[in-house]
Amino acid sequence: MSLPSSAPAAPILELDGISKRFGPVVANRRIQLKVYPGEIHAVLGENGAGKSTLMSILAGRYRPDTGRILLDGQPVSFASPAQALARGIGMVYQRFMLVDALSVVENLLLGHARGRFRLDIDAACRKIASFSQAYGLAVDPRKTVRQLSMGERQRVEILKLLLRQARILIFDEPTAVLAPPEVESFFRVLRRLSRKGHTILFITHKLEEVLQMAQRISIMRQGALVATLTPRQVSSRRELARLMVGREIVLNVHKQPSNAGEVILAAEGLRARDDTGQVLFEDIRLHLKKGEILALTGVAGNGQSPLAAALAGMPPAFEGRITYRGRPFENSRWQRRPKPNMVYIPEDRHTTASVGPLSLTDNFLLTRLKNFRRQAHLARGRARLATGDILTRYGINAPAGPQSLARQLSGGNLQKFILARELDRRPDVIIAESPTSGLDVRATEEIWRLLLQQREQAGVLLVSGDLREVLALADRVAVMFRGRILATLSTARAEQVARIGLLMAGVPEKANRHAIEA
Amino acid sequence: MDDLIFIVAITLKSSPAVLLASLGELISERGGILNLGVEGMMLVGALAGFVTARQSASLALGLCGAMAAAGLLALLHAFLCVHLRADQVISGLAVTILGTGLSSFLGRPFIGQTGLHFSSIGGTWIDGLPLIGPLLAQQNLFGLLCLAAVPALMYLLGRTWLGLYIRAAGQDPAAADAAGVPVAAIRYGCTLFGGCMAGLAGAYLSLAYTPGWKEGMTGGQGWIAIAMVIFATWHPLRALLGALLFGLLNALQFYFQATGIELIPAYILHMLPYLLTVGVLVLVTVLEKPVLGSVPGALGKPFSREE
Repeated sequence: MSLPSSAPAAPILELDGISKRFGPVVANRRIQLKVYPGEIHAVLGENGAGKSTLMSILAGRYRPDTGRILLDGQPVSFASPAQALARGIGMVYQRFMLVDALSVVENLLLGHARGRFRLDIDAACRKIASFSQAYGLAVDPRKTVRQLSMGERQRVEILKLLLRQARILIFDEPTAVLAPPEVESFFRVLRRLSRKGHTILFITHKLEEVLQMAQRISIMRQGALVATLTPRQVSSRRELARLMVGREIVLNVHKQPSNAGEVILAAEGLRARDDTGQVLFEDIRLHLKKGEILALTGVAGNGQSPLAAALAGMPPAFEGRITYRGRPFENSRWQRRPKPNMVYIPEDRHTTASVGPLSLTDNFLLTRLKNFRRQAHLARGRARLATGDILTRYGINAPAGPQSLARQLSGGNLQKFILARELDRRPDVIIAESPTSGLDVRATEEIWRLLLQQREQAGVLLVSGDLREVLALADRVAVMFRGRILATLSTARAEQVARIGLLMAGVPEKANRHAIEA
Repeated sequence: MDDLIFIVAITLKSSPAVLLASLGELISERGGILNLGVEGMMLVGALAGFVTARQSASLALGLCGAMAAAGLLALLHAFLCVHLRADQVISGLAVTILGTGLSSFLGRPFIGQTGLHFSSIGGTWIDGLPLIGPLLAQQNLFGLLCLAAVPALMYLLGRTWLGLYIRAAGQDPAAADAAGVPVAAIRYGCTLFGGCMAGLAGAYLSLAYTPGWKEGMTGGQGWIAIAMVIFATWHPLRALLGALLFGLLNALQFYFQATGIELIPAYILHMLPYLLTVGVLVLVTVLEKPVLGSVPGALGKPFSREE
């Protein structure tokens, strides 16, 4: 590897004292960073460390408050992403910037087709094909973006930048939405781009990726750049994690073997379609036992979310039968039935699970109303005390106690509050959807502990696409692909764990077409 | 046979206003801006067209006047919705109220006046054409030229970069912006185009269909045009179909009046365009599946880069 530390090459990009604040929050603090031509440079940090802000400044989305950006040694300043792109800096955001209703070729023509009035779709397709070939970015230019997998959409984003002659490509958490095999092919693309002289910057918080891919690693913590090193200088993942978090952390929650009891929730032959007739999920058979954590995993959009919602008694309407504590329920009766001992933690903690402009006490009352009212009268004083009580017991950091507004809480604290609110009523079934998405390591650890504790008296259905989380918590894993459960595997058996990734990508396996019930 | 020609001729004659207005609204909505001000813009266009043509003794200038006046209202709507990111429904309603009030106030001196108008193209060699001769004879040049807007807009939307930009701005302005599409400019342009078309639609009424100025002379055709965009599921060809359907109902009304045969009471016929609109809305909502392709995803949503 030609490493810049020994190479005499001049940096292609240099950040000199970049600072950026949003209101009272300092997102970036006097950042110094050099990026060399052709390297793959990882920017590692926890959520909220300021990585995305820094990269967005580079890509022209934000303007820095202070500091300079030097491109090829010349100071530059960008008023818009288009200006940055004109100078060869392009970014692929976590949320892909594609118009779903348009075709691939139309998306690629957007923004630089202004030569002639008439669009020459055929010529554009030929040009795209030649780029696809050269960089190993296979995608059908005439398909509508809506029909593409996440991996294909990412390739379209990369093609978009390449067609505009980007030399520096920035990726924000590029592997977050990809299935493991897609990640592999994405990495191959990265290497090929780098070999062809493109400079790659990618944001991540996944240590494995950094060690596998990066030629240099910059680590950010609380808005500051704390170190830039090469993988050789890193002695262990633990050290990398320590640099990232600033303290010794072990992301290992101690899990006792499960002590599963009777089946508490079971589903038989569930299926549902959305408004447009697309299958959301079908042929679903699963059972959840008391005392275990069952994970429902898969790449986002393969039916896990609607299935979890249906199990929790929310829309979509479904066909099939759900058995709860030995009593069978048909679809509509299940949805109408009150479920005092079942809790549902939706993925979107900001808009589905809580109401931002209301106080924590009011948010507490949203799901706990029954215990705090007599006819129309609301026992607010008692509710406030109860809210204060869970804040202390669960160690939730709220600026103004029970009177804080939900939107004032950080993501981690809000999630803890929501969990606390629900767990406090001692449920026997917990359905939690991506409970730690977007949370930092510390908050993740605490949420995991809370869920593991619940295993004592309840069955937990964990819906998560994060394999790390699934393996840390679950006793059994049901893998979903295109609306079906492909297999249910035991996390205690290594040879079964190894298959999860392939199953998530829908790679068919004859051997376990019939679910293995652990 | 004569009856049929009568009905078809009147159908053709009474549909251009709705056609023009709905094509304009269609482009505006494809770009992501809902314009409920069509009715007001049509009224202002009708008055301005009539007055300009009368004072300048030029029909062409009359059309320009109509476009300019309605275009100004459209710019106001665009400024509120694109620049200030105001609620598009409220802004549109305000523009309609403003246009209605302005036209009735400024138009008072012109009520009952006569002026220039487009005359029918009959009385020439056209009469002699087989079959379509008597049909065309009752049409005027303006109304016939409107039909050309349909293929022109289909070409624009489907085959040109401008059309691509418009569709992108209406579907996903954030993604379009990231790709370098000047979303605000596109949306301004689409709204302005919609306004000018509404102005022309108004001028068709005051210069060709029922020459002269009368307060509230659009009679709700602006609202029908908005409903027709939904009926057309944002496609120009189906917008033509909608406008012809509106024209047919109108023609039937005349036909029953003229012949004295009242198969359907006049009151019902008066109501039909509106009932049709309601029916279409219900149908489109129920059957939305197969036609969703061109629905602008970001219709009515303001766009700002900060979020």
